[in-house]
Amino acid sequence: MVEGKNPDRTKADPELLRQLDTTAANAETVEAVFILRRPRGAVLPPDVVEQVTHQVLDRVQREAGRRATDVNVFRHMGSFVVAGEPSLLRLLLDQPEIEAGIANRQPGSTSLA
Amino acid sequence: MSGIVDQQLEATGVASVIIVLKLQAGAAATATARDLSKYCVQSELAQESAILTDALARAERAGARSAASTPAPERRRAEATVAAAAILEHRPAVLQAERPEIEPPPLVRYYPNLGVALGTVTREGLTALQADDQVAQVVGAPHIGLIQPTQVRATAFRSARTWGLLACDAPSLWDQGLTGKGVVVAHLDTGIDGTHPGLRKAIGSFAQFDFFGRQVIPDPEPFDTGEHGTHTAGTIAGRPVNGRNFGIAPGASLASAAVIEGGQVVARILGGMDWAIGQGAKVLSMSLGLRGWVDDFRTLTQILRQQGVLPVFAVGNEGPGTSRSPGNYLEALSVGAMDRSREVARFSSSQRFVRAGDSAVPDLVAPGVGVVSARPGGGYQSMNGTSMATPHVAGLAALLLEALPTATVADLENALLGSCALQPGQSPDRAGRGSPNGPLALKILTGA
Repeated sequence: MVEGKNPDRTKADPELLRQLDTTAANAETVEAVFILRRPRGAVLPPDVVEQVTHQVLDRVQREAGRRATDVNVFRHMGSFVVAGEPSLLRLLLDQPEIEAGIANRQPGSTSLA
Repeated sequence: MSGIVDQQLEATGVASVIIVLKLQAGAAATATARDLSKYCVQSELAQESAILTDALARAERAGARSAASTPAPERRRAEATVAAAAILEHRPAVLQAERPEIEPPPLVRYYPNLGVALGTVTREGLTALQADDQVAQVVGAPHIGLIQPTQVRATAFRSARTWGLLACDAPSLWDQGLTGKGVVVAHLDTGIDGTHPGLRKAIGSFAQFDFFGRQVIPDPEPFDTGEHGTHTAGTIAGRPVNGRNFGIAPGASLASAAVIEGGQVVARILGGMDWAIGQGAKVLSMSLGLRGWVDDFRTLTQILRQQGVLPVFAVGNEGPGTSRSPGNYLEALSVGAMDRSREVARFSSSQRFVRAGDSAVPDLVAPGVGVVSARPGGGYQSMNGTSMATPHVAGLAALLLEALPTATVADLENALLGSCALQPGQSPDRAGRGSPNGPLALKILTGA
């Protein structure tokens, strides 16, 4: 990870970090949900979510020299999900616009109560 | 190897797996798949496998993929699991009584168009399978078994009002003309049976989401992948049927989405949340969660609140000293279960955390034992669980919102919590503030 780029550290899900580590060796893709940083106590308008997501993605894709294999933007939830190689996702974690990164596929069971 | 497989192996000694074969053509691939039978077993998971088998067969028949353009193993695996989950979602009955209609599966079944096989393995079989030269990848089959409420019982519904409605004193709010009309309540669960006479008019919108948080098909007919969602939806907004009432807010409109079937995928639930906000929802009823403290949904729950959506989440069914996320977040209205005598149900989770502010969950308790609500296909059934308590609180919030549409999340939360009282035998550690009272909550909210 590039040091010093993101002064407000991104909150990275330990499961995502584990998946990035283990998958890097297999050259497979990882799916991760990224939450955009918001102004304190406010929400990002849907159009801004879309715009910032694409800005960030364009930047990391240029830097990494590779593209995400799939993206889906959650306009009302200030977040997006990306499938891509671990190196790309690590770059995303380091961007100042990103507040948190979460593994899309969780090993624990989300179950009904 | 995925956590799903490890969990299944630890719990039962066998696991249902999808086997992705290395690229082969026609007869050779079929022979390879047949050869994999030596690693597989019949097991108690056969019934579950049969359901997935059936779903994959439908995907196969639908021509999901031509053999000539078979893509990379990872992609094939993903498409197979998504196809299976999506098709299962169209089969509301398959997880219920109709199961016996499905024939027991062979040890291994191969799907040439999808490029995958399905089998059940022991740990030894799994190791051997992974070492086989013909196998590109072995992954866990998607979770299709639901963790059901602690008790489900068929029941005749004879009373005019369920005990849960009376315990919250919802009828007093109805008498004041409040039914939740004009209020959209988000309901993220297993889906909803749109043909039930008590639910047909309650559904404002319905959607189903894939593992990437996208709608599987636009504007599907509402259906339930199980029976849980139909029950919880009925408690929120079920319409009276033949003079019998089971919905707290019988005028509210549901934005219902199927998000749980298919396993623990964040984007699927996130897709449902995002869609529900777009539908204008102001309350989210969600009776699902990850066991223990898991931080993943915390920021998302904060965003829900900032979007003006009250997050009403079940605390869990594992008893004292336990809880589930997101129902144990400070930002959630955390709901436990009580029985008809107002005692906290033994299964109802409760836990204390080291944190500033409200350190204990649940925040309150609501009717969650012997709750009668809608059953897919018509009729009614009784269920126990904090899943059943949660929609009572969400329904109450809808009634309050009709009275004061400008109420904020904090206003609603303060009114609901302020109306709570500990009943005899209830302790704050197990019941939080106690159980809510509709008319008192309205008074706190409106000052009238």
